[in-house]
Amino acid sequence: MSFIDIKNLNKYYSEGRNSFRALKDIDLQIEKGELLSVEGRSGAGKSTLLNIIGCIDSFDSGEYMLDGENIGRMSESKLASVRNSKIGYVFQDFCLVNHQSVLFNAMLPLFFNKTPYSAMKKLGMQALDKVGIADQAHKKANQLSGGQRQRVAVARAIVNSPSLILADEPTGALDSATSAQIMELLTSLNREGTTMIIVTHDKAVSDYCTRHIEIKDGVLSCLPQKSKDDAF
Amino acid sequence: MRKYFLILRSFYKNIIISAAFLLMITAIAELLLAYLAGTYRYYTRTDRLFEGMMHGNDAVCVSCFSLDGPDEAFYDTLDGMSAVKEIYRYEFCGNVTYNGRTVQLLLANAEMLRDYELLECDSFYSESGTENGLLQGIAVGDFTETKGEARDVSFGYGDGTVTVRIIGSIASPYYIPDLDVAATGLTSYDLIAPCGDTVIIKDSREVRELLGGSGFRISPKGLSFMILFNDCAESETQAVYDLLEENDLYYTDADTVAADSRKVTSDTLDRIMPLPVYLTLLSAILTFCFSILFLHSKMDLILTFYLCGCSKKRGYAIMISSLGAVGALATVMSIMILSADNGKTLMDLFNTEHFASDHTLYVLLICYWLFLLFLSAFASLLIYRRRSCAAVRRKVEL
Repeated sequence: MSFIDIKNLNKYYSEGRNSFRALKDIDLQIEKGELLSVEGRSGAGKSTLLNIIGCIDSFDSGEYMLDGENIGRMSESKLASVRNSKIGYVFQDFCLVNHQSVLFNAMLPLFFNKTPYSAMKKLGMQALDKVGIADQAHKKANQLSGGQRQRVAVARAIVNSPSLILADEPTGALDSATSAQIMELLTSLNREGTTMIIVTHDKAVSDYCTRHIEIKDGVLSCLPQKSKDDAF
Repeated sequence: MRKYFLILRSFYKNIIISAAFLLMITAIAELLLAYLAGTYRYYTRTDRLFEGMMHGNDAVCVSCFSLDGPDEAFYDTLDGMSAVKEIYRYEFCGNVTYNGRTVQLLLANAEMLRDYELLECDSFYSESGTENGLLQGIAVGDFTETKGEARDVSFGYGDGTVTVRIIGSIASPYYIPDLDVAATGLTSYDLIAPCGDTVIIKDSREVRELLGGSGFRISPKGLSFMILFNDCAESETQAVYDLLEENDLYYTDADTVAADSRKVTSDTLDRIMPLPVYLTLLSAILTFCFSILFLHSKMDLILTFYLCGCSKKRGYAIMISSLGAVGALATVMSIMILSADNGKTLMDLFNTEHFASDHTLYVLLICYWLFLLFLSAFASLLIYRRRSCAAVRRKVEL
């Protein structure tokens, strides 16, 4: 069984009396350790698919299995637990708590599981060290540059050692040099075995990925696969 | 617990001014509510006291238009009639001095004292109203304090002193049937008035002997008294009325007095209540609106928590706790202000003399805080009720 197994997935949005079908009969299987890019124009449904995979949005029909568990049948509390333990998120707008310290942001997921407070700081610092920003631990998040903030976001995403990282336009707010650094960081995490799905319409970013899919008007199609050697 | 505290602290960070503003407006709303409740209680107090005194019995309030009033023979005759259950009248024993202050001594009917809602006596009188040869008394006013224990207090009287065993104290103001009225249109406001710097002594044969022995001259207080009737035949009641008329005494039945009082109270409240009611409603609406704005301003933070694995239930708990903490602090502040300032003018705006800060007012304030908690739950449900985090995120971005 694949790590992510999606069958006949549909998503509708209500627009007054009408409904708009954002995703149409999506079938997608992703194996563990893959580095997948999701491409397409704005409004195609990329972020919608990512949100559903990340358990932060619901779907209207179909089946979604994550690591053997049926997401569609889970309670809200169980979904929260999945988001905490199995999934890390990296967004274009970083989604940090700006007025709190870098360390607080990195260990934020640990507040919502059973990790004792005494261990939280250590795990937070380890994650910051991994992304190369441990020296900024006590600065406020809003005092950092865009690239540094995204590193903090990545640290937060990996602090619980999740098996899946979802990145929605992770370099959208960054310059090309910083974007490259972030992508190097993400790909290094992928090499350690973390499955990664990156939504992007930036070719430079998608070139890092080994597998590509495209969403067009809610319909998924696979793009020619590149090997890992081609990516790096 | 520490994790929860840190999360809550992060909730308040960067919005201290908004939280302080919400705290102030909540405290103002609570103080206005306390003022409204206190004002209502103040202006209805005599009605409640009067109805409590009458116990739902048939009763009449009797007035006299002469200065002397009826003699003891009249009261003995009246007391002996089968229809008469109780006669309420006070006797004035004279003034004494204590620490330069003039204190009056009253002989009172202990039945009335026991039923008064403002009574805060530590204990009640003995059967005879005396103890170890001393008069027992309850002090009304702040000229002395028992601090929970009975103590002997010596009062100056003429060239000598008289010692009274003070067995309890009543916080001023204390409302006593003020039977000085000789008027036709009676209300409870005429019959019940506050008194202070008084020692109330139980009316009994032993007490009268002691007082007479100390040189006190007992005289009736006021020109009126009240009669409570037994359940009896109409002819027996009529006999009482006949006796009163023979002695040129004018009487009004208690139901008429109560009705007239309620009318006076209603007219007074109609005149003075609209503005406090309006202000209280306005402050409650403002509190509700600012609570919603407060929560909405933190939706980004809640979304971030959600992404990190915070469940919706926990998210609700954080939102409700954040508002609840502000409300609790405001309630504590209001209770402290009301407790510390009782009887004075609060910020030169409200006269808190009639707030009557007691447990009922504090319960009211705590209920208001709980109501605010309910509102915050409702507000968070309004904002957070969407099925998914992504939907909430779209709404917030819009």
